[in-house]
Amino acid sequence: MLFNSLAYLIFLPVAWTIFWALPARRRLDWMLVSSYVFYASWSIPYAAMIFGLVVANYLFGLVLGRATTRRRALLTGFIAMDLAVLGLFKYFDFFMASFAATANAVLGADLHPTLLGLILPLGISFFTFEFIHYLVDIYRGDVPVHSFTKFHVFSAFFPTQIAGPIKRFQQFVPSLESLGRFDTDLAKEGLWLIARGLTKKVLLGDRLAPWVSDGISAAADGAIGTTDAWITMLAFALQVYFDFSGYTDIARGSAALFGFRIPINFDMPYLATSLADFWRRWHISLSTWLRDYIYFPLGGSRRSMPIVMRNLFITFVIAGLWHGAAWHYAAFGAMWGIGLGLQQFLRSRIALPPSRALSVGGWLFTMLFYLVSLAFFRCPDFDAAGVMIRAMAGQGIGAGTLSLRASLFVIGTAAALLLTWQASREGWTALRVTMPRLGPVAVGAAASAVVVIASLAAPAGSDAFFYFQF
Amino acid sequence: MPTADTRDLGPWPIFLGHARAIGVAIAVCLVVLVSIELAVFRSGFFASHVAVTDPQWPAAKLAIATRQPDAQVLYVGDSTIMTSILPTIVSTQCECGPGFNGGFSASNPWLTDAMTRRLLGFMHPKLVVISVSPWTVDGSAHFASTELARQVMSPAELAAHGAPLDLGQTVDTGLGSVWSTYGQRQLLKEWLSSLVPGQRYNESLLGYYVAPGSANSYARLVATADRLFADLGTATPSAPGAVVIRSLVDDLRARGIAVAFLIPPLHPAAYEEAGPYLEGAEAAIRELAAQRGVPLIDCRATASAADFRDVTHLLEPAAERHSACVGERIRALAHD
Repeated sequence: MLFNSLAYLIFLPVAWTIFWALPARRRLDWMLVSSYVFYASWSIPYAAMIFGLVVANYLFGLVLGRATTRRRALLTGFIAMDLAVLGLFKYFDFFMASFAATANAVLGADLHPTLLGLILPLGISFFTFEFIHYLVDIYRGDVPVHSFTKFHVFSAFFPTQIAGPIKRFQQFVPSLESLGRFDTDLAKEGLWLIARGLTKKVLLGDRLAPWVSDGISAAADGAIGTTDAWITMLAFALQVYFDFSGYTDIARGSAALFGFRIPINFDMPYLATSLADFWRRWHISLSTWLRDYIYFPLGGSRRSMPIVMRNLFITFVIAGLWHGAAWHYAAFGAMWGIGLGLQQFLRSRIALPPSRALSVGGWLFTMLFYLVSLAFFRCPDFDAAGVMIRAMAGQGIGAGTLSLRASLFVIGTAAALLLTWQASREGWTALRVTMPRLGPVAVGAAASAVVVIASLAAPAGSDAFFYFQF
Repeated sequence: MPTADTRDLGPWPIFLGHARAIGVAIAVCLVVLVSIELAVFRSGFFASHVAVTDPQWPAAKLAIATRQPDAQVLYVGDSTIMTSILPTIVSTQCECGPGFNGGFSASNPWLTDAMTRRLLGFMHPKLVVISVSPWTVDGSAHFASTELARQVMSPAELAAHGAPLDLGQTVDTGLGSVWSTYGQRQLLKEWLSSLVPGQRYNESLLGYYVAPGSANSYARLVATADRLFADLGTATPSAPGAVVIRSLVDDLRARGIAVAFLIPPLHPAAYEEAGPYLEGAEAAIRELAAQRGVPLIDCRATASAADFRDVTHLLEPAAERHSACVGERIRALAHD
């Protein structure tokens, strides 16, 4: 069920009405029912599998919490089981095909492995990362969640089920105690977030998508002009931001209607002034997860410089592969790992005093680096990414893939986004609009305008959110 | 501090406390929505005023076609005919009356058949020219329920093709038929886009359209041709798509409408990449035409490699030459 679908437009009010109509002690049960209806609307067998994973990880947590010996072995075993499920669905075919291709090329073998061709369960990467967080934090000393219902709601919570944000149980589970009280301000914030998210997704993200596809197809076909290449990558940067942050807004807004606060996932990422700053602002729940459960366990930045650079490289290659089982995703991660390692190295050698020029230079470099790295992320293979990057470097072929209208829309949208963020960061009060208190007639007229706009903005087909595939 | 009992009531006390205001707001909202439905859509205002920026998709094509009910020659098929026939030029050459180009992107025999029947609902042409592209006679082609199909086919027609609407699509269609702002949202968006200066489709082109830009570097031509002709079966006049076209021909003739087939021009790169299939396809198309005694219009010689925007679409100067040639052939057919 897509957040921007008619089905969700029906599902959400029904789930919300029943949730608040039930006595407080029954609301968690209803949240579970709603969450499984939400998931099962896509696949009943996979919903059953998710239930099995939740039960298993609940038991893993209890066992780990009570264990006094061999805790490390238990943790390793439990995480291995979670990763095995993820690996089976997401990575088995990829590694088998890669192994066979390498063996055939290098050793002259003639391997043709049988691939499973399994459909990737929606949200499996997000489920797995939340389970690993839960188990590792119990290993580190946190108390496991003893209520199965609460753990179940934490794991299967429908607003964040498919594409996060990746939650932390220490923040989420205590909030389950306060579901008896309807928070009007939180509900208003939720409605605002849903409206904002839909606007980002439908009016901006989906609008940019066909132009991105045209540019990527041109690169995949072997020829794209230099200007078209830059506009395509800029359009994709905007599309992926509007799509994913729009999804996150709707997820956070939906959660807020039920009384849950979900942390932010984006903090004006395209104002980042360094590569490290970018990841403090982009997909925050993933980057903090990677920091806490991969980078720190590898030694973090408290080791010698070569080890730190290695840690960054490993962490970001894993981040790349988390996005998809393909080598071009790994290359995207590797590029960021190397870039961040070099930045760390330079910072340890050269200390420049903060200045506006340095910030502007850092921002420009970060954005150029990001746009080039997106070629690896979005292009279907290395050949296409190579064509795109060569075109971005001035070796473009042909022109006219994107119309002038498309190019102006992309550039205008980017400029408007950056200006809005800058205004928001610097608190430009002149731009603030105070909403007047409306009477019922005006509210009714405004509601009809919302219905008209929502009807217009509804997708024609299945404009899925980009991050659902991960 | 709320008591435990009131805490369990959730948001309902707030609603009850403002019941009158909420009732008034809902009533006003409903009145506005019903007024929009009646005044804009049910009155026919929208249908008569809607403009588009891009006539490449069926609903947009149908919208602009409603303003050409006097067309005497109708051109139907996929984007190959949409980009190669300028009805005004054909009409000048053939002296056969005004025309309308009803071709649209990614059409196939099933969609062409459905689109033709929709157009015949308000047009009364004397001649229908059907573009028979090589994919029409692909033995492995089959009907697919796509968004385009849902634009030109009714739920009953989809069900007849073995692709009934699922529950979600049924609800979607039902809501769209009751609330036209939702049901016609794509056209509404097109209309809003057309209000931007310079963006409105020039309807005097009568359905002809070629997308801006070009994709005719050799690498792109080869890659596109590769993609277009991948996974094709054997070309045969008894292919499922050919059967649909044959039935359309019979139906048109039963209505007293003359029919001609058009073989669309393709870039030479297509023949380099898929020569054997295209040879077989041409033979199958000729046999299909012969089976039903349908005249073939073949003006491919008017276009050379430099005349193409991409593998399958002509640039406008070449489309003008091609249209003039088609006009001459139609005039010759009329004299025969």
